[in-house]
Amino acid sequence: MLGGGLLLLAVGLVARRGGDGVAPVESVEPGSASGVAPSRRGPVKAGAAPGAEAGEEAVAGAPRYDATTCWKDLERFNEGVSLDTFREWAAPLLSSRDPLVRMYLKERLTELIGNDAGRANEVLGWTREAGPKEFKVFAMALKDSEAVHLPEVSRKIVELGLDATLEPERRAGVLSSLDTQKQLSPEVLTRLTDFAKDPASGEAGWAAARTIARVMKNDHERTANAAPYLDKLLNIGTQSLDEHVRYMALSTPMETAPVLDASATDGYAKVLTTEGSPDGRGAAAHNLSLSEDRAKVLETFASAFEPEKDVCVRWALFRFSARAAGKDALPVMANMALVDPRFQATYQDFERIYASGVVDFERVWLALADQDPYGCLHRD
Amino acid sequence: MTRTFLLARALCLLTSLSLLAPSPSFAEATGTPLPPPSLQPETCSVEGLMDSIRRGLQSKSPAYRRYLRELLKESAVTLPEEQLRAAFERETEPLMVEHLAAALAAKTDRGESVATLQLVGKRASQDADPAVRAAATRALRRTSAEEHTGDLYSRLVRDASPEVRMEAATNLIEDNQFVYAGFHGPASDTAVAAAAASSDSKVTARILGNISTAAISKESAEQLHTLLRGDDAEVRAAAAKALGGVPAPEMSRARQTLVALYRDESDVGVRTSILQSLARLGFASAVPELRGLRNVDPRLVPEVDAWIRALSTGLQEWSLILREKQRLQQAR
Amino acid sequence: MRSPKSRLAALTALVALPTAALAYTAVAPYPSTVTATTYYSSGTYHGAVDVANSRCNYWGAETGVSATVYWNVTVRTSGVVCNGNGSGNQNEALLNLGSGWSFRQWHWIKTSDSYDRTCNRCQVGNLGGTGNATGAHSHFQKDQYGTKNTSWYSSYTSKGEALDRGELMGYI
Repeated sequence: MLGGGLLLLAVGLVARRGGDGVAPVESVEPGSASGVAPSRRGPVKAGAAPGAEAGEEAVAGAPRYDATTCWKDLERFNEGVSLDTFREWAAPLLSSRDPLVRMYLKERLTELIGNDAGRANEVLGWTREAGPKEFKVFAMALKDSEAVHLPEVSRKIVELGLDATLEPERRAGVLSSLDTQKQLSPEVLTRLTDFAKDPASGEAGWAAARTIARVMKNDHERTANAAPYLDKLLNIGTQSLDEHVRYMALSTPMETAPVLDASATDGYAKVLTTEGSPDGRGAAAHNLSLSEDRAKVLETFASAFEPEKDVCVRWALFRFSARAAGKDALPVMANMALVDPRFQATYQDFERIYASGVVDFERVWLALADQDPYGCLHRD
Repeated sequence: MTRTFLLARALCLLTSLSLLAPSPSFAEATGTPLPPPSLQPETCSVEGLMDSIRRGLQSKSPAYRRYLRELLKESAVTLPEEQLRAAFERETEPLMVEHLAAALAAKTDRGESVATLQLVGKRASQDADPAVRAAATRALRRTSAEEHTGDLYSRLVRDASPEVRMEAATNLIEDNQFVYAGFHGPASDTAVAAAAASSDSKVTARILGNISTAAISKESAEQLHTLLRGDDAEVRAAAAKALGGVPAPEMSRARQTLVALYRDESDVGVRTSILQSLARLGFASAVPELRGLRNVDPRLVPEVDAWIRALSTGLQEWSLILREKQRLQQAR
Repeated sequence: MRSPKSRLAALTALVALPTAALAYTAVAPYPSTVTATTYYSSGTYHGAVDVANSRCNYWGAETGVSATVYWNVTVRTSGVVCNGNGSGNQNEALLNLGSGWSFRQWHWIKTSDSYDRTCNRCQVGNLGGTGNATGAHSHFQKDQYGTKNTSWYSSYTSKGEALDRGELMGYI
């Protein structure tokens, strides 16, 4: 259900767009398919087409293109604008409903910041009070600037992002301007980790975990070393009280795909038995599929399968056995299918694919008759 | 083409190249305070947009130039089509042709008629000016052109201009990766057919060395085997590399051919490609094969060893094995 | 992650995974409100972005990626459904991003536009609520090998936000 503020916003929007815009609707909630989500199905509050019933095929809606906007004097804006005049000059564009020109403003502001710490910190200061659309432009411009890599800038971003006087969404956005950092110092890594684990941090803590993961990827691409970040993400993933922050920390290593050493392998193996959320346990299985010790991973998956009651986590243990060890995992997977006969058809599919000569797990995945045989992606 | 025209084109190019570096602001450079621009929203027109783009080419701001290009492309679905076509047809400056061509192709890709994209294809293959043909070809990059232009690419790779041929090769490579994620049979077949149709060995090698063949047809696989027996070593190396990625039904034959070829081949580049493809076709099961070939060419013993080490990690995805091989080699 | 012994102080960039080369922009397919991101209002895990507009079967459901790409379109429900017809029955447009990564767009209503197609924000159906839904909306999800990824959407996209068509939702 949307709050009063949003209702006002929506009403304004409809007026501006002549009635073809957004009307408030009930948030779409999951049904009980996942076994964890309370059902909150209810009537749609507004606008469902009358007589919208299954049966006859719909007539394709005519394409409705928004006419683009050309801005008189934009050339002069572009040539004449400076950081000092940016907010004043850009005001009509910032308040417009033109995504294209807002993207231009973001890129132009990045150019104006350049590699100058003073300018970057000035724009950072603007993010304290900026309205939502302005905020996006300022924070994203800062994130993409050269100056964001200067220590005196990144330090101030951390300070503002951790400033408890700001609302969580704003702090989340500020922290995310660190996502392009090439690396994080041990001190900043520790501060962000502690913040992400702090129950009071809310959405900003979630964003902090994501920033650690994104910088891990940047750093790993240059140095092949993800260890300090992975250690912190595992720490957040096991210690945060917020399930969503834990999931962010447990799942984002998939973007870097680090090969786990013995310590990380142990850490994620523990998550399989200690994490309360099935999604978190599934993410741990995902990470474990890339380990230096494949035999240990297969053994861990084999022993975790029977006690695991959630079919989606079982499906993760099953498919990631194949990612860990290829066709050598088939005996382990066959045993899983004996424990849970629902997996027999899927096992036969894997067996067929490996017998055809496919070795690359990406191709195995694409060759599966059904990538979602247990409805695990369909919880929405 | 007149000398004056060539000079004008060269000046325009120089201007746009020399202005690539981002710059803070013109106002700061002059120190003159300027009043705020009025910034009134207006309806876009073809002529207005073209004027803006022409002037925008002089801008020091890459952000502004990018914006103008995107604005024209985004506008293509709402601008009068006849005006857009007419502007495209009378334009002769390659840079402007490219902007207009990109807009016409964008209109098709938004779900509109294929006719506007086909117009660009026609210009890419038929314009008298090779620079215009190259510009129109570039405008078809990362679009749905392969699906709407018949054998266009097999013709473009035989164009009299090497620039056009190479631009066409780049399109096929980038479409394969960015539009089709490497797993779309018809796109890969189009690329293989174009590679085989070209008599420019550099173009053939470039295409085959940089596309995914994961979903190619039996006929395309056969083409790769044929190209593997050609005279040009660069083409043989690229064909060998392409054979490493073929679909399951083609893997066994590819492996046998490549093992046999390794012994008969003398070119080190071709042999390097063969080793990579054997690794890719077999993963861990290729290790005995690689050991068997280890002493055939002393120059490639380190390469064979690097593949054996990378495959011995037991990783099950090709992209990860490639990454691991590079890491291990850099660590030594 | 590796033992300290084999860590390298400075490497040339490692072979980037195919996904690293891709940076598509995910954008709102029609004027809409963000109704859920990581959390539902109830606090239940969602792990994806939902954008909604109440005019079911009115708006075309444009593919929400601002680039020309090949969409694999799967129709599981043929009729007009606005308020859900059960888990697993959602119509889906699927974008293969390589290395096991997928981007999925759900719940639209089948029309004559619903076929595999290569396009940039073209319609694959009409805005609807097929599958597990309580109202017309579009669900955007990114996953690798079936594991949901929640980090793609912009930190600046928040629940309750009104989005214009074409406005940034995140990078995939």
